[in-house]
Formats: sequence, C-alpha cells, structure tokens
Amino acid sequence: MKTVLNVLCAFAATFAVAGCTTYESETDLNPEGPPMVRQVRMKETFSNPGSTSTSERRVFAFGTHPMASEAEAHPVMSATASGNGFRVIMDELLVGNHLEEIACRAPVDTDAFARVPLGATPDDVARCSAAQDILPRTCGGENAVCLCDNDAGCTVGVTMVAKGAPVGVLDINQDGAGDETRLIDGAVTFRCGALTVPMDLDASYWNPSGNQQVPAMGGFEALGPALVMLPQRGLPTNVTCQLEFGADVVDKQGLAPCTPLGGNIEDGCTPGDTTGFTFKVEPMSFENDPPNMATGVSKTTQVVLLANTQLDMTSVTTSTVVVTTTAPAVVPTYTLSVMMNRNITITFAAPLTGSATYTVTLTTGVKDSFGQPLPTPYVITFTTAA
Amino acid sequence: MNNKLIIASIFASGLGATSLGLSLLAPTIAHAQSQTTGAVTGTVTDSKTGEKLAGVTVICTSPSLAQAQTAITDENGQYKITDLPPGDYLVTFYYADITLERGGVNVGIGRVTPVFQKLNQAQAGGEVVKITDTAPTIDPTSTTQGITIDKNYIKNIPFPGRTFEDTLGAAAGSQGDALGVSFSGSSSLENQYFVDGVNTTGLTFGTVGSPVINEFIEEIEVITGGYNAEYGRATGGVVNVVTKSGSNEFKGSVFGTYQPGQLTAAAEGTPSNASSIDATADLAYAADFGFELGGPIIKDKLWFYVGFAPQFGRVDITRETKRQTDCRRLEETGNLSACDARLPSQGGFADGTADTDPATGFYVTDTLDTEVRSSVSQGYNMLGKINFAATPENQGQVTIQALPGSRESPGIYGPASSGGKASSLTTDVSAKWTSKFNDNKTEVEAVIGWHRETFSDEGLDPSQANKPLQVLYDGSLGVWGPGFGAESARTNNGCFDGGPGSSDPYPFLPNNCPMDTTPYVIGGPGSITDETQQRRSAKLAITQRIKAGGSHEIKAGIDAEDNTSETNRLYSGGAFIQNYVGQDTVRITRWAQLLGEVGSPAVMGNNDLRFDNMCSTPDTGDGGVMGGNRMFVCDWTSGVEGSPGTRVTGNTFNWSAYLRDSWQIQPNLTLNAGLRYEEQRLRYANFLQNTVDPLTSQQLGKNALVMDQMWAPRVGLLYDWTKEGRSKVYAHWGRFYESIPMRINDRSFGGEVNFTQTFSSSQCGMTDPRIGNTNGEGCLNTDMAAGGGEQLIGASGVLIAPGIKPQYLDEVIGGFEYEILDDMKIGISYQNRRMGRVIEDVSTDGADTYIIANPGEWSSDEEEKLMDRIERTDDPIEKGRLNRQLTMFKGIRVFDKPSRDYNALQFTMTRRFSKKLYVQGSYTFSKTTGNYPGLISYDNGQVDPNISSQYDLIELLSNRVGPLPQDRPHYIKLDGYYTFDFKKKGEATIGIRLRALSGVPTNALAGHYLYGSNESFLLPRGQLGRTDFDHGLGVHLGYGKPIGKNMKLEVYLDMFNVYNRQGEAGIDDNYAPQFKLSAPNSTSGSEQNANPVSGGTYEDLIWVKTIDSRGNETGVPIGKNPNFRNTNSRYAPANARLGLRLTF
Repeated sequence: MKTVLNVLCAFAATFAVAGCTTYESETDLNPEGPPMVRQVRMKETFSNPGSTSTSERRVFAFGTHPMASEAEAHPVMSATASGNGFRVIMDELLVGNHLEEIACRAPVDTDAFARVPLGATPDDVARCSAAQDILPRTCGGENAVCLCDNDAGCTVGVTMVAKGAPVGVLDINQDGAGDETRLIDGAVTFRCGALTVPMDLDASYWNPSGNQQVPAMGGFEALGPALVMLPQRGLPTNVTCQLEFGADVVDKQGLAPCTPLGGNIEDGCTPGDTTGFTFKVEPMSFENDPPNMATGVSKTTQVVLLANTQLDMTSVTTSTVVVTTTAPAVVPTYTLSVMMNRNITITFAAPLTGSATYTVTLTTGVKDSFGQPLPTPYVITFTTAA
Repeated sequence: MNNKLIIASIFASGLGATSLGLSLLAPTIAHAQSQTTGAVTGTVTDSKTGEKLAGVTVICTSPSLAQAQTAITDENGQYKITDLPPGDYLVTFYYADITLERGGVNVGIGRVTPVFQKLNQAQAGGEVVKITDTAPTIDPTSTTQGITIDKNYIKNIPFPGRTFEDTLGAAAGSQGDALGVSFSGSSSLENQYFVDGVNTTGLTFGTVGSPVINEFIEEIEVITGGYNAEYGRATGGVVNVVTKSGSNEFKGSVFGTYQPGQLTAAAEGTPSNASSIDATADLAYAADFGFELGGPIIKDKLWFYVGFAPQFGRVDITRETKRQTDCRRLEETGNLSACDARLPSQGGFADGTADTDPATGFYVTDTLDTEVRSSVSQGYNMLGKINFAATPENQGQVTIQALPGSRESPGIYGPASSGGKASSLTTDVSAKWTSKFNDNKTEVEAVIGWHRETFSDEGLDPSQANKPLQVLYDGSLGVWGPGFGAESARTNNGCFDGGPGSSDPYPFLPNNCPMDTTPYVIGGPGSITDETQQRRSAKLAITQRIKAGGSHEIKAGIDAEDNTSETNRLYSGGAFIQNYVGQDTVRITRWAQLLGEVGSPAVMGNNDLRFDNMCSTPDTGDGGVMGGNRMFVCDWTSGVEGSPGTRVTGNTFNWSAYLRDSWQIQPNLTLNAGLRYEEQRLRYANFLQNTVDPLTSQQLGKNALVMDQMWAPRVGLLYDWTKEGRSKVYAHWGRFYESIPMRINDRSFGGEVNFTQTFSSSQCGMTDPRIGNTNGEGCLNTDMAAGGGEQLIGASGVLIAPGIKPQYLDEVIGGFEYEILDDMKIGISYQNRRMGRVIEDVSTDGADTYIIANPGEWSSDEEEKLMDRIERTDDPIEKGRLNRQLTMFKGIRVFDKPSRDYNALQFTMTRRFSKKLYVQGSYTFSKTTGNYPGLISYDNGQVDPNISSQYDLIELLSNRVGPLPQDRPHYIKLDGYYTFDFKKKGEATIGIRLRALSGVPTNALAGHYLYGSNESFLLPRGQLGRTDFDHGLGVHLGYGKPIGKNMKLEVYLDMFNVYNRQGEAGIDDNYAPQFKLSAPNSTSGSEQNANPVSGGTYEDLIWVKTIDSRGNETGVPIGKNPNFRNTNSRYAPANARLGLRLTF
C-alpha cells in the first residue's frame, strides 16, 4: 500500500509546481563518510594593533563559519598555554559511549564511573538509575549499565554486589537519568610533540546537540555537535600540537574522525588522519612586578613573576632564577616561592641597596609543567629608590 | 477555544394549469447551487426510442421549499432546477397528458442530484405514474470530496457533543485536534465555517465561531477537498451549515438530553510522578433542553423559525494529594521491603531518599486527602429566522442567532480561588436574497452578514483582582499548603516536614510533598481578557447559463469582509510572576511599551512622563552573535484595564472575486474551470497607524501586511460512463490560499513587546514563610535584575520581509465513484495536498527582531532593491539600519522552507437511507509528512497562527521534519443505523459509530531558555514511534411512537465507547522538563534546556548537555522527565446520554 501511495505521490508531483518535497535542512549534519572536524574554537594571544601589549581572544583555529570575519578564523601560532578551553565541532554525531562514561552508584572498578554499553538507550540508564537504597529490578540484561568489574565484588552502601552484577547508575534526583558523566581518559586529547596533554575529564565533555547554525545565545561557542576539551593543566609551551582521538572513537558507521584540510568537509579526509589540524602554543612568558626598567623601586620590594603557564616547580631554583647587581650594591639572599604553579615570588632576606640596578634572570632551565623549557632567558632590570 | 431526511409529500395533484403555464427557465445542464442550497438536474428521454424529449415540465416540490420550482426541458431533453433547500423532493414530470412522479429525491447543500427520467409516450394519459426508483446519489458535475450530514444522521448516529462541529469527524480524511476537526492533513484552524451562507469562522484563531446546536440544523456539508472557485480562504476544509427554516406547516420539536455522571465510567488516571497533587476530571452532568418551531406567517409567502435551547454542564475535578515515603528498600527478591521509617542503624530503611517502585520507576506515595472542585458552564442557544418569497423567483431570508455563555473554573493546583470565570456572547445576523431573471437563465444571489464574538474573563476572587498571578515552582506542598490555606488539615499534616520525634512519619526525607513536575498557582487572575471581534461581510454572485459547444454555467462573484478586533493586553497587577522557589530565582514578565533606545532622538525629545522605566536586553548584534546590552526607555504597561497600552485594536479587510465555468461538453462529460482572486489587508493597530516607529524611525501606514496577487486557479474534469448519473471518474487540480486569522493583528501589528526580568531571590526581599523563599511580588518594583537577567522580546519590533508572498497549498485529486447497487455507491480517490508556501515569523537576531516572512525564501530582486537603497543613502545612521535589515532579511534564507505533504488513498462506501438502513464507511490510508503541521503548534500547544515559535529561532529548527502530529496512516470509520418498524407500536432505531485509527507520532522534546518547554526537538520528529492504534464504538438506541396526529415521542440512549476502552490519546513527549527534579537534600532543581541533536537517535540523549537559564551550555547531563512517554491523556471513558424528543 505504501508503494501505491508513493507512486501516486510521484504522479501528483507532475501536476504540482514543486514536485515531491525533498527535506533538506540547513541544520542537518553530514553523516556520510568519516566524521570530520569542521571547526576548532580556541583561545589565542594576539598583539594589539599599534601597541606592544597583547590580548587574548577566541577564534576559529581550524575551519571557519560563513558568519565569521577574517580576524576570527585563521591558523593559530600562539595558542594560550593556560586557561584554554577547546571546542571541537564535528560534522556528524560520534558514538557517545566511546567518549564519555557515566557515574555509578558505587565504585565499579578503580572508581565509580563506567562505560555505557553500545546500544544502550536512556531507558536502559533509567532501568538502572537509583538514588541510594533501591536498585530497580529492571536493571539487567544486555544493556545493563554500571556493572561491577571487581573480582572481589563491589560495595554499594551495606550491600555487596558480585562481579558482573549491576550496581546502579547514580541518580540522586531520581529523574531516571544519570547525574554525571565524564570524558573517558584518552578518548580525545592533544598530542604536542611527544607529549600527550591530559584532559580535565570532569570538565570536558561531548555534547551531541547543535549544528552549524548560530543560536540566539552563545554565538560560535554553541556550534555543535562538539567536544569540549579543557586541558587539566594547560598546554605545553612552544610546541606544535594536534588532535588525537582514541582508537575506538567512531561515528555511527564505525569510522574514525579526521580533520579535512582547512575544515573544508567537501574535501573529505581519511578516517583517523588528524594531521590536517595543528596549532602552535605560545612560548613560556612572564609578566612581572616591578616592571622591567622600573625605577624608584622600594628597597624592600618582592619581585613577582607570573608565568603564562603552569611551571615545573622543581625547575624553579636559585640556579634558574638568578638575581644580580653591580657592586657596590649587593644581592641579599633570597628565597623563591611558587604560588598556583605559576606565580614566582622572590623574597629578599634583607633590603636591597638603594639607587642600585638589579637584574632578574630566568634561565632556560625554567620549565613548564610538561618539561618544556623557557626558550630564551627572561631578563628584567629595575632600579631601587635612594 | 476550541467547538436529515424529510419524508416527501406528494403535491403533484395540487399543481394546476397555472403552474404549468408559467414561463420557466430554459434549462441547461451544469451545477448551480450555493452554499445553502442544492439542485436537481437530468435528461428526459423516451423510454423506447431513447429520443430526448423537449418541452417536458419538471416541477420540484418539498416541505423544505416555500414555493414549487419549475423547469422545462430543452431540445436536448435537459433540465435543471436550482436553489433548492436541502431536503427530500418530489420531482414531477408533465409531458403531453402524462404525469410521472418521482419521490424521495434527496437534495443536499452544494450538490447536484441527477434525476434522469425515461417517459413512455405510449402510456395512457391522465394517469399519475409514481416511480419508486430512487435518484442516484452521485453528483456527476462536482469534484468536491466530503460528506453531507443530514438531520437523520445527526439524530441516529451516536456522536459525542451537541453541536455541528462534533459531527464533522464523519468525513473521510478528517480527524479531531485540540481546537476542532482537521481535514486532509491540515490543522483545524485552516477551515472555513459558514452558517446559512455567512462566514462564521472564529476571527482570532480560525476556530468554529458559531457552534450551532444540532437540533437547529437542517443539513451540514463538509468539503474536504476539490472545491471550486466559489470557495477560498481555506487550506483545510469548508463546512456549510444550513439551519432549519419554516414552511407552510407548523412543525417543531421539544427536546432535551441529559448526560449524567452516573452513566460515565470512572476515568483512568494519568498520574504525574514527582508531584504531590493529582487531578482527574469526571463529568458530573451535561444537559440541554429546548424547543424549535417553524411555520407560516403568510402561507406561501412568509415563514418563521425559532429555537431556544439552554445548555448546562458540570465537571468535577477530583484532586488527590499525596506524599512520598522513605521507609523501604529493595529486597533480594526484587521486591520492596515492608515500610520501616527508622534509620538503617536502627534496623529500618530510612535513608533520606524517597522510595521508588522498582517496577514502574514511580515514587511510592501515601494518599493524604481527596477533594472535589467543580467547574460549571452554561450557554443559551437562540435562533430566529424569517423566509419570504415575493415570487418563486425572488426569495429572501433573514437569520439571527445568539449564544451567550458563561463558565466558572476553580483553581486546581493551588487555592480554588485562583481559578477564573468567563463569559462570552456569539451573535450572527445574516440576510440573503436570491432572484432569477431571463427565464431563469440568470440568477443573482446576495448575502450580507455580521458575526460578532465577545469574551471576557476575570478571577474568581475579587480581592485578588489587582494582584499578579504568581506561579510557584520547585518547592513543597508542605510549605505552600499551610501558607495559603488552600489544603486540608490532613494534607497539611501529612506534608509536614519535621525531624525525628516529630509527627513527620518520614523525618529523614527533607521534602515529603515535593512539587517538582507541577507548579502551584496563587494570586490574581493573570492575563485579563476582554475582547470583541466582528466580521461584516457581503457577497454577490451572478450565474448565467449559456449554450456554446455544450452547456455552460458561468458564475461570477465578489465578496468582502471587514474584520475588526479589540482585545486586552494586560496582566492583573501589571505582571506575571514565575517564582522558582527552589532555585532562588524569580522571573517577572510584563508587557512594555518602548519609547526608544537610550540616546535615540525619540528619547532625547521625550516629555511623556509615562515612560519612566528602563528595559534592557542583550545585544545580539548582527546575526545573533552575542554582544553587550541595549537599553530602552520604556513604560511597564499597567494592570488596569483601559490604561495606556492595554487596548489593542486590529483590522483586516478581505475581498475576493471569482469566475468559473462549468462546461458540460457532453451530458456525461463536464469540465469545471475557475479562477479566484483574493486579497487580504492586515492593518496596524489604530494607535500605531500614521505614527513614527520609535525603533526604526519609519512612518507606519495603515496596512501592515498586504497579501495580494492571490490567484487561485481550479480545474476539474468529470466523466459519467453510465450516462445517468450513477458514476463518475474525475480529476481535479487547485490552488488554495490561507486567510490569516487576526491573532497576528493583536500580536505583531499591535506593538507587542514583552519584558522579562530574572532576579535572584535576594533581590526581592525577605523570605515569605508561606512560600519558603522570597515572595515574587517583592521584585515588582526592582528596576534592574542582576547579572544581565533582562530580556525584551520584540524589542526591535516586527518587520515584514519585503516581497513576502501569501501562504498556499496545491491539491491534486483523482478518483471514481460508482453506484454498484441502488442506493449504494463506492468510491476510491487519491488526494495530494502540498504546502507551497508558508507565512511565519522568523528571528535572525536571536528573538530581538521578528520578521514576518516566507521562511527559507527571500527574493533576490528585493535584495537588489535594498542594496540599491543602501548605496543611495548618505545618512550613516540610515545606512547602518538598512544594512542591519539586509543582514536580517538574508538570514531568512537559512531557515528551512516549511513543508507539509498529505497523500491519501480513500475508500468510501455510502448506502443512503432506504429500506430502513443507512450505512456510511471509509478507510483512509494516508501520510502527512513535513516540518510544518499548520496553524497549530501541536507539539508545544501554541496557538498563534502564522506567528508561532516554529520558525523563530534557527537553533530550534533542527529535527522538525518527519511524520506530522496529524499523521495517522490508517483511519477506519463506519457509521450506520437501522430502523425497525413496529407499525402502530412505533419504531426503534439502532445506530453505530465505529472508529479505528492509528496513533500519532511521538517525540522527545526539551525546553529552550527563552521560549520555554517543549520547543526543542531533541530527536527527529516521530523517531520514537507513535501512540497505540485505537478503536471505539458508539451505539444509539432509540424508540419513537406516534402519540397523536403528526406528533411523535422519541426516547433514546447514546452510548459512547461502549467497551470502555480508554485508549492512549497522548503521551508525554517532554524528555527533559525545563526544571530538573530536586536533589534529595534540598528543594532545588535547576533549569535545564537543550538544543536538538540533529539526526540523532535515542541513544544519543544519554550524552546531551544542559543549557542553563541564561542560554549558556554547561557540561551537566540533561535530566530526564520521570513521566516521559507515560500516557498523559486518554480517550474518554464509556459514557451515555439520554435523550427525549417530541416532534410535531
């Protein structure tokens, strides 16, 4: 009967102006072929025109958008090393089960997060959702979520659950949906030189919502579907990075993601090939107080150096942070403290000599948390008050 | 807002030579009938030779007819008698001295009944031959699809409801929706309703405007497609209702029906999880009684008809309060333990978390109390009609009908006093005149009409009249119940939250009675309605019959409608408050009038002290990219009716003209061709006309939107292979334009601006112990919401896309009908309806500016014109404004083009009433797909024709393509009745009404931070299957007995859904409630919204992330509605109606 109706539809189309309607939408994704990274939004440092100062802005480091200006879309050679959240916008849906895991009611192995079986639906999650004392007996079967994976079993409250049995999905508010998810370690990351950048798994996520249309709120930061990636401790400085997906991250056809040249999905790309997108992280740099070349600096001053990235604290020593002056002025003994892994404070044991010029040198022995060295020594001078 | 058979008498002997001697029309064959009448046509031939007989006098008589109507056959033996009111006729043929009578010829509205007659010229003269053969039921000259519903159908088929709207579902391809009956894949607001030839379609939305009670109705014609150029302004169906008229005999009835609650089975509930109030509505009674009477004032000249029928009804809403429990755990058996509210350390199962049933996922609850609150309504149907006939060729009619009504409904989720009362009055006055000239070759019909609707409402409690309506979300009935004194002591005590040792049976559960999925309503009445709509209409039609290459019936007509509306725009207390108690958030919504943006010339020169407020809104900049804030000088519109800005007047002027030819090339081959032209002029509200728009600095004229160039061609071809009206094979093509209802005048052309402020509770004063947090009224005088929580919707007004074109659909129909047996015809048809273009508002800058446009289309010519204008402008401000407009208009093209395709195969069978049996059945196999359901947004319940939220925001467009809400692939309808004649002991009738139908597609919806619940299609439309296939049976049992001369008493019982199948009518499509359920140790549940997962599948929803109340994406997984896919509405339970009718 349906065939008859379709034939008649085609018959009717010969009379109608528009013919049989084809349903295409500007909001459609591109499920054909491998999943392609369409755009990457990230933060870069740029020089303010006509000034030596710099600012930060979020741009399309990869790909672009019809509504984006030229200034908003270009390869990035100075990605900020810290506080840089990435939005990797895909041209189609990835299988979320390989990207995120769901919080369980109790530890199932080393922690209380478990992968969701392929094919599981929100109903399977709901069947296993529990607040505390009640685990629905409907939780079970092929798509049961949060199965105990310890040989010794798993402890849920006062109950011991055997290996292979469900412990239940954490659902404190009892709405039948998991309360938390987190990114699977290694599902997606950045490879910077030989380094793998660890992600903040709790703050990073996969959101299948969205498309290429810019919503009322959020601008380009709300394009989707997207992987939101927040590096746990920033990026290694002065190095080129590229996206790296876990081996099992695929679209619904089982194809691995790739990065077409310039984000142009018309060009296509080979599944698994992410070489089409690289970016350079800015080198390590510092802001300081007192400022370079300052005069009239208090003799009791501390010197504060704020790094643009987290530092390897072991690399911050009096050998790598050197204070010198010219006789007859003297450099009192000084101590170094590092706050928040970024903020080096030099504290002198005695007042500095008046009307003397001091030089603070950070040697290339100072390294970021990934072990990347300061590329060239960082030197500042200041002159104390009389 | 929603919703005959006359036993012929033989008068032939009464017709004398005078009648025969009249100079009557020279008939030609074609269909000539109006919206209130039908026609009889045919060919008279010699029964032996087949010779076509000219000069045969044909006379139609009927109790329905004031004066006999006559025609004489032409040289081809053809005749036609037009302007016949619906009813059963006696057709008498006089030829030489032969008199032949053919009774039982049924004439319906808008139909041509073929009566082909053979005469035996050898027959003895002077004898009256009575033909028992019945006339065919097929109209071989018309391609219209649909059904005619007569008085007997109304009487003997059990259908729920008491007005004509309730009968319309008998038509194949029709189905009910929230606001009426929809036809052929459309929504019900796309129909046109005519009563006695006058347009009575509701003005604001397009609903039924005048719901005439069935006892006053002679016949209903339901046209579901294939209509010719006489009809327009509809992309759904056309319904013609003809009320009863007086005649030369006094006739009437006294009637009454009573539908008691005792004859209604208990309704199966649709409980709501995570709420502490459940409500179930049961009919207490519905009753009406009345009389109708018609007769002569001056015999053969002047007749009257009057009717009066009050209606009363009461619905009892049983309100059950309940609390959650915390005293069970899951046993190893998989069952819940017995209840023990002690702590686990004490051997009990209290853990501070509410217990859930492992089998259903629902919370386990204790019932606390039940209370019945009643809603009452009444209406008074009144009808008066005068018919007069100056001569048989010149006849007129004046009709007046009125329906005053009122209703009182208590508040359910809150104090009873939070309910409201409403009153309404519908009035129709119409006059019609018909004249025939030129030997009846020329006919003129003129109709004027006035349709008026008024509606007003107010709160039940006068002391709250000036207070804002406040809706409390996400809190505890244990606080709100005692706080507002609306709950019983049992409920209040049961919801008490106390610590161990208190009377709280679950002391470790922080909130025994959460209100997570239903809000609690307090305060004033909210939106105050006081509105009047009127339509003054006039139409004139001229029909001319000529001969040229066959027979032509050419009809030309013109009509005009002047529609006006006056409506209120105000909230009681000046604001509407949403108080998210658990989230420390209060949202204030009000109407505002803007003077202009800060710094603009309008503001600089302001000396109007009324504009003393500031309204800010996010600056979305060009193309929706987020910017800062825009500040406007504004006035918060008052809550006092009549104060500035609260009254909106609207006006729409429609006119149309048409020309059509029904060309009978051969007696059995007809070509219908017509062309219709329509225009619609929608005007700005009076107070805006000829003013300068403060936002655009543009002078506003009179017309906001002119829809012209609506050329609607129609063509149809029919062939009758039996050559005697017992068959037809036909095809039809037509274009139909929409008539935009007046809701758009109120909202888009009335300067509507909505201002919302979202406050933290701390900005609104101290905690009100009745609420458990701030009282939202405390925010009313706070000028600025913190954190940019202010939003103007419509701040930049409404733009009309240059070059906008009218909304239309195209239709193709092909099929055949054949009378396989006497009185029984079958038909098969295919119908395709495809939406060609739609008018909807879109916003390309994130709900700042709305553009009324054709989504997906903007003409390149208009773009060039605008660019040229920009080029020629030197003023940088003007250039900037035009550039912004250019960006916005170009953005229209990005929106999906609306689509709706309806493809249907219909199988119909009709056995007209004869030999005591009537049967009518249909099976429709159809597909209705696309992304545009029509003028109703079924998914979120919005009723704003042409300005719905469906195309407002680009991010919400995704996933809307699929089977539309009206897509029911299979629909079987079977109606019939049989009459048992017990002679002097009376007669009994049994009637049935069977319906079996596919369910409707289901979806997964989520909220949008600006637009509210159910705006976002998380998954492609219809991907989650459909509701259950359903069926139901109604039975009518009637018994009538003559109790005197021309008097009959009937009693009857109509039983609906006799096997009490309360099937699933709807399920909860809301996947993610806009407010997530509470965490256990607090009452807070946060707002959650989500954008669509384009092309996603159900599995993807596990990973969807929340968008917060400000529109920002978060990494928090979206919560699921515990009621998702639960049944939320059922078909009515078995119920019955008793009826009594005394006819005379």
